[in-house]
Amino acid sequence: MRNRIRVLRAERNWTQAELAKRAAVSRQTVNAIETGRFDPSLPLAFTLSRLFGKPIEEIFDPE
Amino acid sequence: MTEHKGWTSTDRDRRSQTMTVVWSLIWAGGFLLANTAIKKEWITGDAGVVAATALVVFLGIGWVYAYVRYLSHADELVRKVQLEAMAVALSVGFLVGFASLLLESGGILEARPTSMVLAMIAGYIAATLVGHRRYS
Repeated sequence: MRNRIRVLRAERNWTQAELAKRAAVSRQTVNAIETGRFDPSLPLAFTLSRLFGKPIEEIFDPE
Repeated sequence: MTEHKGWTSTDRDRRSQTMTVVWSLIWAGGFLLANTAIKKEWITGDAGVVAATALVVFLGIGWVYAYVRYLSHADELVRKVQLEAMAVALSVGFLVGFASLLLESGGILEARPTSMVLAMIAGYIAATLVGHRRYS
């Protein structure tokens, strides 16, 4: 699934490690989501939505 | 904010990951010691063998508890990789086990439980490595 995680992270000057820490996941998970290799669960998607202050639909785009 | 250092781990699961490794080593060491003691007859008699076996099983329960705890602390990607690795390990163990039985029926070789266990371990390790590589 395409997403804007990398762009939103860059806007806030967060590293992958910082985002991972805020979302309570591993850096590998953040990287895998950003590169489209892994789709997050609904709870994690909501967590990312809260962290970025954006609706889920503005972060993820189903192909 | 503190940088957390693990690639596949979070701060929360690093301790439980370490405990899983520690319990794995304790169990493996206990098994090797008990097996050596039985084969070299340092432990003799049915009662001694059963007691040694019970101790190894008890250590194994500690390892299983540590592993389940690690999985409960791990993030969803690690859980996905571990689930797939366990499926591969179980499948490989079954296949090797039943293949061994067929070969034994044909008089080609003697089926040994060790073959199935080693195949499961190899399958689990390979699938874990492949899984982490796939998502990196």
